[in-house]
Amino acid sequence: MAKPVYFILLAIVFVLAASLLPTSYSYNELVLDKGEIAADEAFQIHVVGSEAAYGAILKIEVNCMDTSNLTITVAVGDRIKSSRCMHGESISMEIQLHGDDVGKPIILNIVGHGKAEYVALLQYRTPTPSPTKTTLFTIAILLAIIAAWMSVRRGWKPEL
Amino acid sequence: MLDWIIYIGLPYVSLTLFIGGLAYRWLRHRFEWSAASTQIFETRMLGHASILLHYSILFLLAVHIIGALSILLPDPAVVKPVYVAGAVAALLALYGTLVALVRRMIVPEVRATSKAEDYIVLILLAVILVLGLYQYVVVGIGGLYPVYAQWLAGLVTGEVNLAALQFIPWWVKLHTALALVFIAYWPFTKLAGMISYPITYLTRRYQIIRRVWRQF
Repeated sequence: MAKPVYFILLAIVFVLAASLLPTSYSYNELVLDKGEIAADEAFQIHVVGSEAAYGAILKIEVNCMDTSNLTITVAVGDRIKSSRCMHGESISMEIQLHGDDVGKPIILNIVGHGKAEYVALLQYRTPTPSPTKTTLFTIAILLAIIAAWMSVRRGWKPEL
Repeated sequence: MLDWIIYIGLPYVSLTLFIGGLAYRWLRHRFEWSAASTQIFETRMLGHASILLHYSILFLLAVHIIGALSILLPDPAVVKPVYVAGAVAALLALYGTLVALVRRMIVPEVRATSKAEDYIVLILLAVILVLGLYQYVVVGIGGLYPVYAQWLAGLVTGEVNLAALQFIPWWVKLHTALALVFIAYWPFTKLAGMISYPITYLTRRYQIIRRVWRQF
């Protein structure tokens, strides 16, 4: 005879199966900031938001203007990337962000002479519910409801 | 605006109501301070379900604390098995909550002594558990722990960074908001009994108890 404990154990199996399946993500891009910077400037572009909670790539694209000779440095926490560009060159720098970077400022620093245009992009991913995981989760909840109902029915002895 | 309500307004209001409500009840309505147990009316259904509910909730509380503190570890991913155990605990807590709810509705003696707050607490808890379980099991929301740890730190220092919270999915925000409402509602329900412990029993005067073995 079926017992509530079997249903609960089955529900646990479904929950574990759903949680161990790989998460599917949708990928998005966000422009954090863009503008022009001159030499010997250091400023905060942005503070990393919760969009980076599941991992994100911070991309800094810099176009140096003619006659420029600049060293561009981007820093998030203790991770620093640096690159040189001069005379109309375009450079790109990337930093991998993690959940623990959320709330940290993104600092852009430029030294040398001349000017540059920059765009700061964040390529981030958002977890999306997959149909398989949703189905397993729904079955687990239904099994828990059935187990609860069976427990109540087995324990309930109405007065005669 | 909604983010401000959930992440700044509601936490402070909840904390104020939690502390203030408990203090008010203790000072003004001390004799109503009770866990309002219904065990005397029915135990067959309650037994295992009540144990599962209470211990699972305590375990889930620990999982949330571990998750928030995991940002202090060199590799926060080492606590992932704790989240899996948390998912199992959430399912068991849901089962216990459902049994407690149905029992409260169908056993006449328990139903007669139940107040609206008893149902509200159980329904609120069931919804919070389903939302939390959905977050972890279906969406894999464990990655949000560092974000929430910073939010909690911001609440302490009074510097909550709302911009860092705007991308949080709506079901996570709902889970958070309902949990905060649950904390705010806590002192005005039987849950107030949960934070009392008979420590004074250690120092109180002796009680004289007389047993009558052969009364008839």
